Parts: sequence; structure tokens; C-alpha cells
Amino acid sequence: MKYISLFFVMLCSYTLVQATVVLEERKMKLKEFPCSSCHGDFVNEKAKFPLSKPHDSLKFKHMDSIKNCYTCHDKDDRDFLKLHAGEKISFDESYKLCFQCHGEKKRDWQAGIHGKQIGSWNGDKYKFVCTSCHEAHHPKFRMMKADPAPKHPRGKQSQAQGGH
Amino acid sequence: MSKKLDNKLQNLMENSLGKKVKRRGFLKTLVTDSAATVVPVKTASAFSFEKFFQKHYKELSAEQKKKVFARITKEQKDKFGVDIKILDPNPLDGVKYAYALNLSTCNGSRKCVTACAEENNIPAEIGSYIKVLEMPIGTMNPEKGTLFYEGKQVPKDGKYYLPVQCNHCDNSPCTKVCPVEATWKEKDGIVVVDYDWCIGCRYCQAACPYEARHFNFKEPTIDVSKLNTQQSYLSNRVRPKGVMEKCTFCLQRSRNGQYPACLEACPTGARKFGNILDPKSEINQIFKKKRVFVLKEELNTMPQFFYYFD
Repeated sequence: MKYISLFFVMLCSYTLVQATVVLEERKMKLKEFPCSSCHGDFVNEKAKFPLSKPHDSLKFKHMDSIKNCYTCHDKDDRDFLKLHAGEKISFDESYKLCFQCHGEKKRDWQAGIHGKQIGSWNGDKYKFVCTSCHEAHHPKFRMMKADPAPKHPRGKQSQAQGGH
Repeated sequence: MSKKLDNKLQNLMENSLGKKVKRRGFLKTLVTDSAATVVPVKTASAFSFEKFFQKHYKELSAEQKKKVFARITKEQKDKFGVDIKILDPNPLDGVKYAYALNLSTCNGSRKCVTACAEENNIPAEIGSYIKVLEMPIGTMNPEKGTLFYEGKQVPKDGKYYLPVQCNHCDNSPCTKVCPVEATWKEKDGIVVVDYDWCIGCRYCQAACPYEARHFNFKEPTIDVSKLNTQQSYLSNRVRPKGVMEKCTFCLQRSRNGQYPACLEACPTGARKFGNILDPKSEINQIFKKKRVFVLKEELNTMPQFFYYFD
């Protein structure tokens, strides 16, 4: 009994010390999830679910040799993704799909070097996944509008580059 | 008229020569005169009197600190009509802070600049503690960069962006030149300023090779609606006129375990902050896996702000 309680205390202290890292969920961010609400059962009920809005606006600029949606999406169950090895994964684990090719980024992301993390530097963290910043279909980071520039001490006329 | 003045002078001379000035009498007049000059100060404002004779931050006892914080709280209540909270987080044991910035991913959007100004109650005249330089690709010389770029679409082609702020040097030139020791390096590596002790000589501004220190030439203009009420004595409380101020790694946040405001605002995740003594921290992982460099290494300032490309 004594040993069991000791073990329990140790387990608790371990979980307390160990900082938790929460990953951002992908499903919550997708606008029209679950996908099966439109796609349905493709084999039998195709006529029942005509696509009112096909993916017209989808821009694809990732890798030229990818011509097929089913490289990443699961063909039979549209609510899931599929690894090359055939394993079905949830949209929340989409980073596993990216890491099949981007091994270097995987190492950096796991070490906390690549990608944004917020929360506490010595405690619990909220970690962003690949698709939080990179749109999976055109992964180059988006162009942004910069915040206003600082005031020039001599007014606008000397904004030109170079001294004097 | 001149005759009158001459007579007066003569009288004075005679008096002073004829009567030998005694030491005790001299001291007596000195004491009464000085008392007469001090008294009006005390009657003018009890608070300024208290502030005038306030000790250096390091010499304050816990009781005295409490009094000082109460005074600052009341001053700001009178000035802005807002209830603020003055905190004084102590340095954590076994912690030394360092910062790393990935120049490959920084896109020059200046979100850190805005977040810094909001968190630290920085007046519009100073702008922000962070400066983002737009640099042409192919040089590391900061003089080739421009601070005042307009960015409708960043990052621009052929440019990279170099944010510069206080480097919190281990061998800091700014703290050495201060004649009154109003600025010093804390145990956890943060260089701080005691705003009530600073005399505004601006030696530190001249000594800093990174232009990280800013001077309040005017009474700071604060937008009361945006005032951050969680303030700390050594970092983001509202500064008086005529003192230096600088980046403190958001001391009021980092000593409570949070990340600095600039890091949380960065949209690209280029900024990394952590404890250099913890082998598992992100900052130590960067040292192991990336090739880091510092600005103006040849000056031997030993900055704790590292840059890297990946």
C-alpha cells in the first residue's frame, strides 16, 4: 500500500512538472467540415449529393508532379487524409502528411525551432501546426501589409535612401 | 545714485573687515538660510519631495518599495484617472534569458513593433523599442538598410528584414558609462533602468552601438484608452520626462513565465525566446542545430540576441 501511494505521488509530480504542449486543431478552422456533408458516399449516392459549390476557387501551387487530390486525401472517406503508407489520419494530424517529404522541417518543428509557439517559455505551450500558417494547397507564406513606418525625424522629403 | 551705492558698499566693507566672522556664526547663518530654501519645496508638493529623496532601487527595502509603488499608482491615478497595478517580479533562479530571430522567415510586417509599443506604454515620440531594417540581399551592413520603408506587400523581392532591439549584452557598454548607476544588468541577463534614478545625461545612448536606447525629450503623450495597466517598476510603467528607456524583454511578462509581446505578435514565428541554461529550451536547440551570429561582434559586447538563417 505504501509503495502504491508513493508511486502515485511520483506519477502526479511527473505530470505536474512535465509541461504540456497543445497543438492547434485543424478541424475547427475548416469552413465546411465535415466534408462528407457534401461528398457523401461516392459509390452509391452520387446523384443525391450534387456539389453545389465545387472547389473552383482552389488554387494549387505546391509540387508540380502532384496532379491528383488522392495523393493526400482519402478517396473513400472524405473526412480523413491518407499517408503514402496507406494509414488513414485525421485532419488534426495533417502535419504527419507534410513530414513525409519535409524531413528537415519536421526535426525543427519537433524541437520547437520552426513555427510559432505561444504560451509560456517554461510551461504550457500552444503550438501551431504546418497548416496554421501555410495553406496546404499553396504553401508559400502569404503576402502581408506592413504596419505603418516610424516617423522620419526630418519629415517626408528625406525618405530617399542614402546619407546626406 | 552711484554715490548711494558706494556708501552702501563702503558700509559693508567696513562691517566685514571690522567684525571678525566667527565660525559658529557662519554655520548658524548657513543652516537658517538653507532651511529657508528647502522649506518651500516641501510645501509645494509633498509627493515631489518624497520622490526627490527616494533611494536607488537596489537600496530600497520591501517596506519602502511598497511606499514608492503606492506613490506611482497615485500619480498615475491623478494624471490619467486609471487604476494601475505596479508589479515588481524578481529574477528567477537558474534562468538567463536569450533571444533568437530567424531572418529567413521574418517578413518585415512590423507586427512586433506595434505590439511592443502597446505592451510597454511607449509614447508616440519614441515609437517603439524595435526597429525593422529593410536590407538589400547580399549585405549585412546595417547602414545599407532603410527604416522608413512602406510595405503594402511584404516581403518585397530582393530584400530581407533585420529587426533590431536591445541586445542585452553581457559586456554592456551602456551600463558602464552611467555616472549614477541608474542602469544595470540583472541576474537573469536583462538590462534595466531605474527611471527615478536616471538623470538624463544620455551617455548610455551614445555608448550603445545598437541604438537601442531612447530618450524622453518631452513629457510622454499616452493614449489613456490604450494604457497597459499591468505595469512593472523597472519596465513598462509610464516614464517621466527626461529619462532613458529601453527594451526589457517585457520583464513584466517574461518573469511570470510568459513570452515577450513581440514574440506573440510575430505572424511568422521567426522569434524565439527562452532560458539559455535549460538544455531543453528552444533557444538551446537553436544553438545546437543552427549557425547563429550576433550584430557587431567585433565590439566584444557579447549580445544575448542571436540571429540565424535556415
